[in-house]
Amino acid sequence: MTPQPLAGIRVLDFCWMIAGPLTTRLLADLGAEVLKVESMARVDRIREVGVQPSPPHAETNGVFNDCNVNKKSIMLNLGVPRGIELAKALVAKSDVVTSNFTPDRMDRWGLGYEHLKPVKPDIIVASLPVMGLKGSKSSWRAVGNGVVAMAGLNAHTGFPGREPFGLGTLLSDFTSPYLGALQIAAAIHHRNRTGEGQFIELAQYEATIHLLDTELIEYTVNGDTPQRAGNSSRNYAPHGAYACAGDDRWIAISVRDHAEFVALCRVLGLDDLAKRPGLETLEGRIAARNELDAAISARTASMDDWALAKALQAAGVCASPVENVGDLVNRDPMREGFLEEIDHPAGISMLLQHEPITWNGDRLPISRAPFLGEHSASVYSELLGMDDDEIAELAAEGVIS
Amino acid sequence: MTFPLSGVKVLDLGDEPVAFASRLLAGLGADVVRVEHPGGDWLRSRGPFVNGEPGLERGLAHILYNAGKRSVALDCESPAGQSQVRQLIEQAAVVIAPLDVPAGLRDILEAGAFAAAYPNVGLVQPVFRRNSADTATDLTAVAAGGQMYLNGDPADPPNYAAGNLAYKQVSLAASLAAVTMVMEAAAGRPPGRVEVCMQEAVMWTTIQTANENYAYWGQRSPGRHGLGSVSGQTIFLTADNKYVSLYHHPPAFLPFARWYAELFGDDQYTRAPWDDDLYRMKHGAEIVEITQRTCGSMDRLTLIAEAQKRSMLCVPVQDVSDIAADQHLRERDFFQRVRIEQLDQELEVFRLPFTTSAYEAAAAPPPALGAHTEEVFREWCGAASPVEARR
Repeated sequence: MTPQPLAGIRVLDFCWMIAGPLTTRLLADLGAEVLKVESMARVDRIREVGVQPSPPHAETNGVFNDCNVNKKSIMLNLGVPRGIELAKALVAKSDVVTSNFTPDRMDRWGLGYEHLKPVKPDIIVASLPVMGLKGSKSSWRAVGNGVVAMAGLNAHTGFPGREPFGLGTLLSDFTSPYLGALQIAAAIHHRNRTGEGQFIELAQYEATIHLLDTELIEYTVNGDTPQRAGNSSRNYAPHGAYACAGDDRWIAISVRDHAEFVALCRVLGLDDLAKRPGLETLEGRIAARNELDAAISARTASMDDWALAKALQAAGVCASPVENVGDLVNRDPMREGFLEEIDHPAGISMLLQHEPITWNGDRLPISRAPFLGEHSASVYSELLGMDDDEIAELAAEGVIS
Repeated sequence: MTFPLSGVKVLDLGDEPVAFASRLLAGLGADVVRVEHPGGDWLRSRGPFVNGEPGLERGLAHILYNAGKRSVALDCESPAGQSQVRQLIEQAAVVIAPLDVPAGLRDILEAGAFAAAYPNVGLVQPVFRRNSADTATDLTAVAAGGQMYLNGDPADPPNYAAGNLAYKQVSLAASLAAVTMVMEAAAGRPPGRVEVCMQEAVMWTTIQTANENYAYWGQRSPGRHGLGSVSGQTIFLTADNKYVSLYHHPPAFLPFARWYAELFGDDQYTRAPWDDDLYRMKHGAEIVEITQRTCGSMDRLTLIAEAQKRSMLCVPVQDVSDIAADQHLRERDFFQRVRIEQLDQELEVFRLPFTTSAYEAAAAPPPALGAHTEEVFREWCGAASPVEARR
């Protein structure tokens, strides 16, 4: 069994969509008990939007399942006063409270940090707003694609002289969770040492700016605004995606020094280029970039991307097929271990992604995402001592609902 | 201010792919000691540089990713250097290993040998692909993890995005692993060894737009979407020739349709069948057309102010000059000036995104090459100098 550093930690999780739920998924994977608070009045949209098997089922959305494995789901309507009371009773039994609403939402419910501290003095409250709680644009709304756009990733991606490109992944939704979980784990460590809780704010906008490489510091230090550079690099050449045999098949090749350049030329049968003076240095290869790219493409066009990547890696050159999800699921050996095939109670099987880590060689355990409200009865009974009648009554009154 | 990792010793033997991991740990208060070759390493020697002039203290990647760390200069290829590295490892809570392990560190960082020699020290090790000796740069890792295939226009080659995103993703996973290993050790359990896989870390970023179940359930392999994402075009041009990101979140479509009616006297989009999510999805081209017409009718500032007022998800597509000029970030003290002694210069940099009621991340200078060699051996090993520590 892998270590469970967060075993014994209970997280009351008001997050929805992607960035928030993935934050608490990371905590759940590491052993925390995460109670996902849901309500018919506010169903997590990601339960509804995403890939589904045929025929679709309310509980089998692939995206939702990846974002919410290892959690429990409880129903709680925060739109009624009794719901807020129950929320506070659950806070008293929890270590961490998480949310990712617009800044003042938890305060308006009476569930802000200042409201919760008297309930549980060492509580850790974490909020992942888009813009942050302070600042003139704190009320701005955006989801992943907007956060990525504000943070500069679109503007600096694409080809020179063309429009900024959209990214195929809404990056901030997959990077903010790590920074959020990192801060929460550090806060738990701090609480264990000192007995102090804290309020954590992770502004997704600021977090996503850190995905840039040196572009922003180039501007603040040197006043330069780097232009879109297509697939080229200032540090490596050749560097790019080259078309291979087949439909939309590409190989990514990245050459770090002259020895690797010579190895690349050998594998591709470009011996003249390997010997040509002037290409020993990065500057020389960058100056000859267009010619080198054309020569490489002419060779790769008839080659199999997988076979070529293997030959190049064997020769010490960084290379990989530009894999699509079909490759990752059906061809790449990475599926073994990383993608867990589970039998879902809905009568289908599906894949779930593990954490990209192994601990002492083992994967962290994984269990399917909870059904809507699946754990209401057990959680309210175990944590708040409610009996079945009481729970049924509150359900009928629209509180546990 | 109390930083949560104050007093935690992290030995940074990492290379570029994991440089951001130890930078994050330093931002949380850890004492991060970076071991560097006396001649300086790749992060110091790669451009761009301060004022465009190369130099081991002038690399902007070094200034960015090594901020807040201390630097010890050791030659890990020499027996003396290896012995010194071993002494530092003994004192560390966690060691961050490099993706490309230099020959001189191979025996030390070999998993079994490390576990036997240092049972109380956590080891975080990046790999490119699991069970493989292949290595990678950021480009080949984003290609291997399924992310690069999704970027750009369908008519173009897959596009390499800005930002060293594979390095970032593996660093994020590594930093979280490091903190939880510290927690294991604090609980009196051996922290063990965590292997972080770049290819898997990159695939994690495709959970939404190219979920593995698209392929598993036999439906399709999502491709490139040009000016948008899987949910349609999101990037539009405004009247002053600037770009915005505008995503029609379903609850915000009606406010948009009403605004469109006000602007252009056409109110058909405020009614059925346009109130139906699926109908709009099927008529995406028309939605793009009316969105572009709206965006093209006013300047960017006005558009965003009006759209945000209507609860729409509309923000600027910013380049770094826009970000640096953003008053919101200035009000949040995101940009800070740090003095870099070795350059005798003060530079404007930016802090980490960590703001809590207990501490606030502050921008920090990077270390001069080897500046802390004596100091670290004295503090960590109780030795007067690395030479004495070796005895």
